[in-house]
Amino acid sequence: MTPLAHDLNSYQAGFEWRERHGGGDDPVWLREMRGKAIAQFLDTGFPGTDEEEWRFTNLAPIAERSYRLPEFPTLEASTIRRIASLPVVAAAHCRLVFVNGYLIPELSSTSHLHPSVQLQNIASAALTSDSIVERELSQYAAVSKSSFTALNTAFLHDGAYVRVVPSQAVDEPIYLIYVTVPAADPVMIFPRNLILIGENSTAKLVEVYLSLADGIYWNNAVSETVIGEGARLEHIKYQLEAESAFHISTQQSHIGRDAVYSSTSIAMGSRLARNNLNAILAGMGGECTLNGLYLIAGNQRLDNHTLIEHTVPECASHELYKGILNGHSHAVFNGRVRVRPGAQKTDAKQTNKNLLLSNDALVNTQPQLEIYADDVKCTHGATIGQLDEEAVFYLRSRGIDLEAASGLLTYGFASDVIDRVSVEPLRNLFNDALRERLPQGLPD
Amino acid sequence: MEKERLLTVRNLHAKAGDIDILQGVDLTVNAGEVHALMGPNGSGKSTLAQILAGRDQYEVTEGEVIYRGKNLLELAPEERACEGLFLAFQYPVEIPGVNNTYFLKAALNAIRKHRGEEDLDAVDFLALVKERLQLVEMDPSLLSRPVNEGFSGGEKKRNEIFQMAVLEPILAILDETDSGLDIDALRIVAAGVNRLKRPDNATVVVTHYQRLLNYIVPDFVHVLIDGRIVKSGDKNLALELENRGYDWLEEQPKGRRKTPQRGALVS
Ligand SMILES: Nc1ncnc2c1ncn2[C@@H]1O[C@H](COP(=O)(O)OP(=O)(O)O)[C@@H](O)[C@H]1O
Ligand SMILES: [Mg+2]
Repeated sequence: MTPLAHDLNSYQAGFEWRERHGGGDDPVWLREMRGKAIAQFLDTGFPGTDEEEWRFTNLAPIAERSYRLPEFPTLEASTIRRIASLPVVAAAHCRLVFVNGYLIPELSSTSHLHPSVQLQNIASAALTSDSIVERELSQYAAVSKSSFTALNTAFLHDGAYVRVVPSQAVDEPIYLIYVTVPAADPVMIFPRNLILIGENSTAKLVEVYLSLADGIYWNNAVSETVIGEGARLEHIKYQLEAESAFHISTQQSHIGRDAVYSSTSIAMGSRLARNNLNAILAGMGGECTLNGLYLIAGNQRLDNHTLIEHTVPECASHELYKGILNGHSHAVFNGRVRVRPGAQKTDAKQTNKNLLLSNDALVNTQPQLEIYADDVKCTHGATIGQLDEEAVFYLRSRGIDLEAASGLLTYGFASDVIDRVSVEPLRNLFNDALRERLPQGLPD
Repeated sequence: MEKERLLTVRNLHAKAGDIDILQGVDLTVNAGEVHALMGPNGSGKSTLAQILAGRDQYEVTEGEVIYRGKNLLELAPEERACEGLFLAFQYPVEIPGVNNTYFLKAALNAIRKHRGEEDLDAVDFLALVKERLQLVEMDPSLLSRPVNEGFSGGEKKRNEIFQMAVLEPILAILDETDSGLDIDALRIVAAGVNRLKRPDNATVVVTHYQRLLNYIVPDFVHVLIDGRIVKSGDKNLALELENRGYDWLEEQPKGRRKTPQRGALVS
């Protein structure tokens, strides 16, 4: 056990409490899954900075606190209205909305749902022992490999289950929106998503994490995504947690033969966030694109760890992560690309670019190429820099003042990632959020 | 009628790091005039243009620049632009992610604000843009692209003149706008510049070929060599340079003179 594991008993106690309060009624397979997971977590505890994967991110601020498991929230009508009028909720025609980890049917809307899509919460799917959920849940994100997946699985009680049957084109994006209403006592929430895209189908899926007010809480989310043969999924994650919140997320994606997976992670919130994004190219001809934008300031800490595994020949992966840092913020980017033996004709490209708007901001960026095949093309590049002086001068020479010029250039830097998102209302939301957070402001 | 004095450059010396580039430039530009600034590569033409626009990587060590009664060197680059100075860059800068139209609107409204005018609304702005596009026959699709990103050399140069057409400067400095343009484009761009000519504005055309001056006919031609204007004349000087080159004007061997390093003088 690591030194951070001092208060694991409270997790054991929480687990038992949950079993007594409703959890005990769940099907046996789910209870067994949770039982194994809590044992695993208690065995390993929180990882410490002595572990390679956690070298730059100290979890003490999360581990040293204790959290309550939230009960089903009783929401006043005014709160419901507030949530419903959040721009991202209003933009989401087809959505499940969870508050403090619980599905809120009044806030959810499935009227625009494509008939070929099964969209429900995991709790109800598990209750009816949906055989696919039983078979697929926890098959991809390994409890044994991550304390946070173990903990999420140990406390798994709700989340979203999305299944698109084969050969369907689903145009309407599906939103999974996790809202936290912080309370005086910090809560911990374990969103869990299972996303299955059938062969030759296309879909767009958006995960959103936000909060109604500032407060300390901890979201530890896991999404398992399976993209079937020839299928296409655009998977967007928008993290706008409260300033004092903690956010840990694990996205595990399994990309089938000739499937196209494209992920965009937009992260602006939380005090300490870690994203583990693992994509496995499991069938020949698969394609994986990981784009990311992080925009942090103040004392925010944000850590993106991505892993793309080329396990078979003739797959392509492209990765572009961009960061904008202000204040005393600290970002970590670790991009691992693993080319397994035999994965010939792999084409992998990785880029990480960071813009430092303050002298006190810090970035640790690290590509990790593990290549065990010889006929491959793998490139990577990372930059950390300030605004381009020539570009600033060019804008100023046209009458735009220094502040506005810096704002425009920063905006331009971020647009590169935002513009790759195909869902227009989301692009607009991202641009608005970006504008709001740009330290320099923008011309009208 | 007395012509308004727009620009007076007096004994301007400037360096980049410890390299002396300008070594005493004198230049006077009045309203209604077209000046050509010629000279071999590396003689300091762009440096002069960039200093006038406010690039701070050059250090002015001596001399002064008066622009419309103001000490130009004390103004920030954006203030110079707002006061009507415009530089068409020799190497226009690519601004990824910033839409060309949005950029131009921000620039125009900044200048209008400085003049105490209202912002142009979207409709009026688009009308203006449409009209000025025709002046340089620029492909409208370039408007919705990021500023200069992926533009060809010629498209970048046209975009500079297009910006000039929208911003309507009082003193425009065109730095090698002809390079990268084929003969047709050159004619179009020159015609655009000529159409923008008014009695109350002036243009300084920087070039090292005579070619452009067939289309934009200068009132004065100046030859800059090794950071100094060594000869001035009328448009015939450009023709003479075309025939004779610059050699006959070079009084001393070329090459950058380094200022002695402080403390380097040991006996
Ligand atoms: N920022 C700089 N740092 C060092 N040398 C410079 C810089 N800018 C220009 N120079 C040098 O000054 C000289 C004049 O350059 P420039 O003004 O670009 O000439 P021109 O435009 O006449 O071709 C050249 O020798 C060039 O290399
Ligand atoms: Mg030049």
